[in-house]
Amino acid sequence: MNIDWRGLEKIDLGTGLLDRQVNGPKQHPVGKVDDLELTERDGRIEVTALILGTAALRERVPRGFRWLLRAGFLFGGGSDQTRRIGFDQIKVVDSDVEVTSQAAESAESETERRLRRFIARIPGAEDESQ
Amino acid sequence: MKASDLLASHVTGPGGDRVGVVIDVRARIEDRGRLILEGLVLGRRPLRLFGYERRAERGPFLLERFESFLHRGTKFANMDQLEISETGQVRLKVGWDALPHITEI
Amino acid sequence: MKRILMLTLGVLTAIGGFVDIGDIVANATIGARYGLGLLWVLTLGVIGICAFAEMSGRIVAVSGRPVFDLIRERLGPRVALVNLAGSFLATLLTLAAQIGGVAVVIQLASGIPHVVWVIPAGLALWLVIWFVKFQRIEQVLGLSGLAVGVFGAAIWWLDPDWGALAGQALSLGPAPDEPVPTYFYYAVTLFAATMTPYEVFFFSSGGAEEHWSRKDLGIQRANVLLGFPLGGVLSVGIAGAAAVTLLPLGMDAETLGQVLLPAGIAFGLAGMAVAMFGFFACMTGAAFETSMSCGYALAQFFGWAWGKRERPKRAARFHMSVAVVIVAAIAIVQTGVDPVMVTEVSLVASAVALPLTYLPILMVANDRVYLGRHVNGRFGNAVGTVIMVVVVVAAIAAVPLMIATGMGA
Repeated sequence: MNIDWRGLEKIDLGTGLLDRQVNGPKQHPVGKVDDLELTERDGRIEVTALILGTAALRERVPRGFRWLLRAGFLFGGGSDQTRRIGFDQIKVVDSDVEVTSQAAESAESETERRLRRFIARIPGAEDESQ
Repeated sequence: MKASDLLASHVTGPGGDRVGVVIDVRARIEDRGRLILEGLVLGRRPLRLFGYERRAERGPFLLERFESFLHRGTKFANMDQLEISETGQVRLKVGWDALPHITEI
Repeated sequence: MKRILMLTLGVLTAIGGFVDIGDIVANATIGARYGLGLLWVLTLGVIGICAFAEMSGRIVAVSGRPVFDLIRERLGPRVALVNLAGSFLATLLTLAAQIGGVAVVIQLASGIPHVVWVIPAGLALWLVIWFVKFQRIEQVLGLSGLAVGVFGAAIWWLDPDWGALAGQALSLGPAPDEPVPTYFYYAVTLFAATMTPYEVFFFSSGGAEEHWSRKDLGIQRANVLLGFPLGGVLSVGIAGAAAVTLLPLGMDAETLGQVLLPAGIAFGLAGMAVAMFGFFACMTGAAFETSMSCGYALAQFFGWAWGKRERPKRAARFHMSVAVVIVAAIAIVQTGVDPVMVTEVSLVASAVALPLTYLPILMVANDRVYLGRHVNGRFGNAVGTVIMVVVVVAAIAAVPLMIATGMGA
């Protein structure tokens, strides 16, 4: 593990790490830090993984607001399953969390993959970015 | 355990009564970038931190003053002063008033 | 010419922000009722949007983070979700109004009833978004929208009583016979219209679409300082033209046809044609801005890949949501609801969501982790803080004023 924290010595998880954007190489979005995995080891608690996915996000939103999340799915093609990115896959943390390309690949949302297959059939979907 | 289990979770005092909530989880960065929990930021009410109490640079003056005011009673407890269960239940081993204010770290 | 084309993002954002159908009619209504009496509100709003668009443009250029990323990470998922719900709804309603408005303009030009044009307009919008480059859309719509400058020209042409106009502009309160709450209701909605959240969603995401980086800070700033004041001038032109022609006649300006009148009075049929073309371009620009902003806000809240800068199939959920939003907007228009009334309601919703959008921007604009040495200076913070206070006051006053005045009746 060798994460570049850009000179930070301490961090508050709620303000400084949770809800941040997780990007793969070339700033391609993977998801948000929806939750964090904490592991107890040798009497200390360590943050060991990022958890991405709307199932994890649901837990952090009070019950009364969860229908809003479901409404959001209507537009974006459904909810996400939970994915895990181990801390050893993180490269840099500054205004976003940059992970390795393997992590970005494997943590890609299944919903995004599914929709991609559908959208790829529309002419123009392969066109160079515009 | 997940961070969401800890955040906003109720904190019970040494006497077993509810004393506050977990506002944030503070961690230190060790060699090679591992994140080890150092303690919990505790408060009476579940308000967010803005981050000004830790940063060197100044934000808009009024906003900083506002955050100071909102968090005038917010405390920090290090890991020795806490008992955290596997499911994220938090018990304070010392009295609330014995805890330092967050800016005094 | 190339240099001018680099500044069209600011112009388009402004046009889509406050020269869209809701604002076109609102400006004319306000002009017909108060003359230039609310100019101070427009000025305040333009200063506000300049300050915050510049901050959001700077943040995206230096750190790559668009506005909704900032909202979620600073305010947390629950508050960000509330903002998302409110802004998304308001933006969707505005989109519906634009599509309805475009159909009405085509009806005015062709005589064929507007109901026929709604689905084609929505479909054409989606096709343009899917196939045409972001920069091309931005440049064409940004430049064509300037045609509404014909209203400002009309004021000049009609050689009005400049003293009276200046008198209206400089009076900071309503005329003695005008009810005060209604005056302030219009003030709040005009302010909210000038600072609608989707403007910064679009400007910051648009900056990323334009691949702005640290070296583009000058261009970014020029976009802001040219685009938004220009949008303000175009707005004032519409209000002023109504003030000069309709106010003395005691005429209202509630339909698009009535709003067009001053251009016709000054320049005849040619003036009407230019004005209609300008409206068409502005509303299409607003439709583009609002539909993309719905996609940007949703994608940036959930963390999806977004934007036309990715191949469409690499940002599947973003494109899907833009398509669904357009379909939803078409459905809303087809219910026959009055698009202008719809934007008025959405303005009140926007006013309430304003603090939740602008506070995170102000906070991050001071964060060195994001901006390094490009953080706000003292002047920037002073302006930002003053505007924040106004935004909070407007947010608190919006709903009570709406109820008390029956939406400005």
